[in-house]
Amino acid sequence: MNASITFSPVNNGDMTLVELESGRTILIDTNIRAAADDPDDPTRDVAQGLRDRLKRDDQGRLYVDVFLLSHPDQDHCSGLDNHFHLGKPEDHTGDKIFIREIWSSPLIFRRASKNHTLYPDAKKFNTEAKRRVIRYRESGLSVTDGDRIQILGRDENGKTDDLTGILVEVDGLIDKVNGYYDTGMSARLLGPLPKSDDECEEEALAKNRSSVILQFTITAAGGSCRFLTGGDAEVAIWERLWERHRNRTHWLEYDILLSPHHCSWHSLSYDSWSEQGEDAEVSKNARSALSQALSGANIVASSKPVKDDDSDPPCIRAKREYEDILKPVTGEFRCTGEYPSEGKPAPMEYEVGRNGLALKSAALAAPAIISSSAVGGEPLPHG
Amino acid sequence: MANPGGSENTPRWAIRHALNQIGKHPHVDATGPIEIGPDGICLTSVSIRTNLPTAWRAVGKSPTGVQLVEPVVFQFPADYSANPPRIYLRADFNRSLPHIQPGNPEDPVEPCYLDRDPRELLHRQGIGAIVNQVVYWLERAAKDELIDLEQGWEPIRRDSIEDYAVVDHDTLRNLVGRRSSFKFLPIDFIKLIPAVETQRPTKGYFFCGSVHPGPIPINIDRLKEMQSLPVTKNGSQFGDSFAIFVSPGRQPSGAPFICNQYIPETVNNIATLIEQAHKYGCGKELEDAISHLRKQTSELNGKIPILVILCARRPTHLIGTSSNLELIPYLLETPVPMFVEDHKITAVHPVALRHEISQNLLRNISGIDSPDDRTMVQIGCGSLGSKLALHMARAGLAPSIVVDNRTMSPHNAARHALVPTRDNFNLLWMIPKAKALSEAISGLGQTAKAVTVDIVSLGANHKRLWKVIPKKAWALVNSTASLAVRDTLATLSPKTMAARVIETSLFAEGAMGVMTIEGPDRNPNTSDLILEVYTFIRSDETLRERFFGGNGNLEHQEIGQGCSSATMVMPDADISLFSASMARKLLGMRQRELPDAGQVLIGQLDEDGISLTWKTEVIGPYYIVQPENDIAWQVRISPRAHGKIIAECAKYTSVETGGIVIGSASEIRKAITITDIIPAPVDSERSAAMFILGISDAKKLVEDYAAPTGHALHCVGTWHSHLQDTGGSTLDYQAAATVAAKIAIPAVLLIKTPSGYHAILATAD
Repeated sequence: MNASITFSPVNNGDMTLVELESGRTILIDTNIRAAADDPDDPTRDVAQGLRDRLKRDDQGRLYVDVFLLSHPDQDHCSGLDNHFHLGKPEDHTGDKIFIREIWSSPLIFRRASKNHTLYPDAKKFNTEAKRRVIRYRESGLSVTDGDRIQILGRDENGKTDDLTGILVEVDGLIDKVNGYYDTGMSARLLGPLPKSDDECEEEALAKNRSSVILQFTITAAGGSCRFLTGGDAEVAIWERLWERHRNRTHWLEYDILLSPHHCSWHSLSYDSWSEQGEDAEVSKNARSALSQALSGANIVASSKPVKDDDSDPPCIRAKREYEDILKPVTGEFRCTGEYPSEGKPAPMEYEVGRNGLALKSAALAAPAIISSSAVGGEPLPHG
Repeated sequence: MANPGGSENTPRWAIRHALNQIGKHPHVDATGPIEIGPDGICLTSVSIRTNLPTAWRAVGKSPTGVQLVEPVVFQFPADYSANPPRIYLRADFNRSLPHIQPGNPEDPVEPCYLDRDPRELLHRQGIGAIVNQVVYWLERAAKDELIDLEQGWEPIRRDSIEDYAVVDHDTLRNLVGRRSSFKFLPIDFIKLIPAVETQRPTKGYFFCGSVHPGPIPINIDRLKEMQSLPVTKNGSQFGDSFAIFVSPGRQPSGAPFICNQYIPETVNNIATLIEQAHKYGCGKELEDAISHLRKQTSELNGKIPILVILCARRPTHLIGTSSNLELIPYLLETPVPMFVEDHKITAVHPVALRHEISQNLLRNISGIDSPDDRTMVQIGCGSLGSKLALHMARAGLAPSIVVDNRTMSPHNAARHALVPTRDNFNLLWMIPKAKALSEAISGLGQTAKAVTVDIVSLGANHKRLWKVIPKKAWALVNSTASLAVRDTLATLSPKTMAARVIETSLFAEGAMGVMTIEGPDRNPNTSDLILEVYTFIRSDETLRERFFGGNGNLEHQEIGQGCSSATMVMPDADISLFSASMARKLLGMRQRELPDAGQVLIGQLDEDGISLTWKTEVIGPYYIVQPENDIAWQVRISPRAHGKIIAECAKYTSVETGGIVIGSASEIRKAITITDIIPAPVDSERSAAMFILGISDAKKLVEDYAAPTGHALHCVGTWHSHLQDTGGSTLDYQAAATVAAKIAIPAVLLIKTPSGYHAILATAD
């Protein structure tokens, strides 16, 4: 069976569903805007799209095996409280999506809340993460679905020292999904970078949107794929990653990269695109960190359509840089807001199979007039 | 719609619009300029991005040769959008992939991207759907996943076929065992040599061979017997010969040898044939067969065409079949002594496989999956009977015996299932109806014995009866429309003939159809059931009018001299309306079981001439009583009548009561059938010792019941209850005598006792 990585079109936001060969699902971030939930609004109903892909457990609840919040910005967790159950498993009501295991980084929350106040969805997530940590402290690894959590990155001041059973340290591997070893997945934890004693350093990391950065290795049907995803991490973080791993660049290799911060120029440069335009200079080290593209690699911008103007994110200059990175490896750049067409974006699904990663072919959407079932697609007569 | 037509230099709006749509596809990179060709054909090249997986992107193409971006030509016909565009890939596209249309090596490759007619897809969902399919096809071609194991294995593609082999697939597949083998099968063939030389294929003739069951041994004597007749004036030559059938066995591991590679057809001589056979795991067997034939033919001379059929075991069933054995036939015209020439010299031609019409094929197509060998007898091969028999035959469930004592005549053409051919004198049409039907059934690969006897004559002679209707026959369909036949069948006891009778008939000039099915143990029997039909129709005013009324009479139609066949005037299509419904019911019962009670089905054609409604009534078994005074007779009491009698007795538990019985009496069957009860007239007297049937409006009551049925149902006597289990009293016998004196037909005095029935037959003799 093949595995898949599906990027939902959520404007400048992230919502990535990884479905493993084992059938387990990992949802990385979510951005379900009010407009998407509004049936009268043409914005794509990504929540329903997600629900359609998920399975139900033996109690009839739709579920994801893992929810990972890369970074507590609103465009990574919007709609979390509306659509997902946060709280004790037995308190699950309605048809909210049940999260069996959370992957969360308290260090990232700490850095983010220094910068700005957290939005309600992020706060609720944090509360839920804390509840699950308490459950672990109560019952250890015997906790069940809905109470599990893996902590990504050691927190400051020894706060996570007693959580060795569920802690993944930076540079370590996540090899369990919801408490089970899954042969189709392992993930190298590259970020958040460890807590530094240097205040300036910590400030730089916070300013550069410290996020969970993972290099997934997904295998299915005899083929495999490296998926690099880095939340909103910006240039300083990528420079540091290059420093850390320049002698083991294979940790930064990818068949598919979710361009950080929605194809923002700020992940590649300290200079402002709107102010300096073409004079803005790329950071060589950051670029190196992001250019370990394997043969035939793909880069996905989960963003609005990329236009040749001042906006950032997404930034046309970043797109050009990424396309440059892909040229020597015959790779392809795609934007979720432009696929399959700008007017009507749809989820972009990549399949991991025998021959590696391939984009699943999309179909031409029926023109607006014919798509109404009352008119088009006539029944087939028999004679 | 501006500029719907195009000029010589501008393509039509429809095509420009189509290209606009095509360009919107997410995987279409570009659409090329439109070239306008002769005859209004427009071509354009569309670049389609094939989304190759990461492993192949650097190389720029997949292992099957599909490139990152493929140029696809869309060729729009002059009458687009009535007809879809033709789709062409590069001329050097990998031709050995499956699901490619047959064609010449120099021509562009045409993908077979849809398992139905693309024209229907175009009309149903537009040009976008066609592009989606082509993109999907290219994606699968790149991954070498064109064969969808669930859809089934695609048979080998032959790019040019001139010849056919007609084969019963099931017979051949049954010859494949666990071990590899070669077998010889007899064939007879026809060669056609077109008179005009330019119409002849390269080898000079077209060949069609029909493979028969086997296997047979092939030795020098057998070979000497095979011959080809001389070529006739119109260039055809018949002959008999044989086929070599080779099949694969096991691998060294013990698992069956499976060829899961889609191999293109490259065979053109014996050397390549043997090579191909090895790929299918039967190469050695073919070589063994060849050396056997070389030895056997070493002393003979001549030339003989033989078929070679290779069998490949595939990983999944072939598309459209349930078997994973692919049969691949070839023709070789080999000089005798055989196989002494260099194997590279003797030409071998791929031959197309055709299904023989067989019972299994028909059953498969009709979705009939329960094989059975029940014997069904069809009596009456007239317009209705022949249609029923052929519906069953086309589903692979033909009747085993067809009976009719009449011959065909030209007027039958108006509505018979068989269609006359325009041969001299229409000789076929002077043969017995049963024989004509039996021949038609054999054309559908099944055997039906034709019997031209009069069923009525069999009633008396049981031995002859069993020759026609075997004792173990499952059911008998009576479409004779003959009262005499019905009576004969009803008179046969269940012991003599156990097969349940299903009568099918049409009434009211084809506006009504009736089907009756006897119950288990033939109770109720076919005569009981027709009376039930009368009873039901009587209670429905509209039905009653049509059925019993003036329009229900048969009209005489002038048909040839000396012929007095009474015929209903109605178009053939009307008969088919009913015969189709009836055949459906028969098919259902054939596949499952006869119903567990008698049934009466009445079909009615609406005023609008097309709406057909069927009503089904279930009839429980009849109570059968032998009259005390004549055991040769039977009194048969319907559940309806019984129910009314019981209810009436329950009202009068301390006195005798009674009423009038309605039904029909048949001297032929020696039976009086009671279908219904009329309550006793109001002036009847009830006491413990007797019941006196009143007269106050008796006549009117009886007439009111019988008249609407044209007296088909009429008064057949009386019934009364006894408070004890006693038979007919002296009083009863006197009453019987009185009744008998008044009416000509036998009547019954039915007595209901607490534990059952007694009956007294009232006849004048």
